[in-house]
Amino acid sequence: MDKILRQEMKKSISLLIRNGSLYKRNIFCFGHCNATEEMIGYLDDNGFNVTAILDNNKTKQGMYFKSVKICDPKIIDKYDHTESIVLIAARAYESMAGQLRKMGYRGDIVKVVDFNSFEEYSLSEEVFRIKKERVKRGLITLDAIRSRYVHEHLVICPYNAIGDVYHALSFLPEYCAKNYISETVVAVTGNACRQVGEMFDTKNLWVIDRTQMDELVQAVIFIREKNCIIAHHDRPYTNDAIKYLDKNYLSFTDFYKYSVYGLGKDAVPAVPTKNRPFDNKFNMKKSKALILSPYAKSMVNIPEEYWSRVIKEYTKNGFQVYTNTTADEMPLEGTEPLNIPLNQMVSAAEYAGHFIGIRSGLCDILNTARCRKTVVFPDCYYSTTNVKVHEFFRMPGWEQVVYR
Amino acid sequence: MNYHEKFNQAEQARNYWLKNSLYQYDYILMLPHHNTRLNYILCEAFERKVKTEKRPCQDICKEVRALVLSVDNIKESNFYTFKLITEEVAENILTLYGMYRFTDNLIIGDFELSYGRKIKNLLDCGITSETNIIESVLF
Repeated sequence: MDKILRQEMKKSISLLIRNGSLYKRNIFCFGHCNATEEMIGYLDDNGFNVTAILDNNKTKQGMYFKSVKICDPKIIDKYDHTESIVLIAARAYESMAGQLRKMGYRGDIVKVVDFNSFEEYSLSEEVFRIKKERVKRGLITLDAIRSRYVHEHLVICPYNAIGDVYHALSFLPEYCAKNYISETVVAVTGNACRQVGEMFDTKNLWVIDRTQMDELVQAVIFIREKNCIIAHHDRPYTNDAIKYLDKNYLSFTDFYKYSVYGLGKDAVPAVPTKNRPFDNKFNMKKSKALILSPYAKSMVNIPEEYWSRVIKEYTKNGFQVYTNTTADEMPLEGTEPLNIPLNQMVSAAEYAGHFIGIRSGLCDILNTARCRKTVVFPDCYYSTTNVKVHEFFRMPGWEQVVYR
Repeated sequence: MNYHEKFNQAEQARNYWLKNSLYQYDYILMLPHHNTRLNYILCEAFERKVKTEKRPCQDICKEVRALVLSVDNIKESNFYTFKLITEEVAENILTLYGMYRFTDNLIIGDFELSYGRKIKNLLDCGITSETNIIESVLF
């Protein structure tokens, strides 16, 4: 969960606490994901216990996050609906809420974070008007891009995730060659994705915030912009190719190659050309350091015990241990913070000699690094698919750990 | 076409949807093209889907309410309602769906539409078949 969404989640929960909506209620969270875990943590910090996590995925049902059991949504019928509240911090809010209503649930349902501004299952005048205005704002952004880049192929990376942008840009040269595209402009969201664009030496980068990006994507869909591609594996809502994974297998990398760009099996991903040397302001010992990356925005967490064990083992063997952090993240206990630009990460990992991280976009960035690399996967399924995250996001050439 | 005409299309689709109470259906398959071979296959797959699914409703399960909106007069069935539409109506609905996802009940019977859909790429690169795409992605 990124910083802005986390703030939005905390604000929503705080409001619910202030107006008494959570007091003496059976609190349910729908959908076991990273955002739900963070929400449960925040509720716990404020003295509220969650009754259960509702999840349609049968393989998750019966498992626990902390002491909260993951259950079939039908369990809610065992509770008094008027004494219950369902909190949703997931992209599929509309379908989750719809499912509960169809089941006959009459209690409160709260959208804690607006993850998905594309969906609203209503044709009321008010909703229609709001969505029309939203498209108009997107058209303004599109016009601004087009006034500067008239003929360039617009490549939209709609989601603020560095791994997604990395893959989108790595296959972009092959896509351009296949389609005789000479010039592109790449639209991304946020500073980290901008850095990924710079690592690939992207000539024309257009950086906007999340709201502007959603509006731009909607406008592009609405007018069916011709000279454009939305380069993402499961966004926006019109791209349902991810359902292919329900009955078939493709890796994340292949999904970009085949599904996003329609390339052949011989297409080779490009690698970043603008990595920088590690400036080592941290007095890191060459080949005797470990960089840990325990945080991932869209992956359920690996318990602290795992990281503590790793830190203890490496420290005992004389290694310096660092936690890769961004501005709002804390280093793990017993480690030093390492906060460097993405374009130095490869050289930093090579300098340290060892990297261990939860599967995140940082692993994609480090894929070309020549050092000992270990990727840690939580044992769960990717999104709504039937493919485990360690299968979908596999990292050939890395040591792989599936945490169970 | 300018933006105003697009918004008019979306408005017309909204009126059509409400006037015909299309929100009452659990699934709507829209076939926007005159491609009889593909439309027939899609209707068959749709029929298989709605035959086997049940709609949860309080303590009991009911048959799903299914509708096919088609520009092509091809296949009626006991398992869904069939409604012939004009290409203009289909185009308007696609435009409305491009304005926001106003329903999760609409299945568009096409490999490239609505704009942004990428399943045709999976076919074109030769890793899967039309039948597999229909079974695994569309339904």
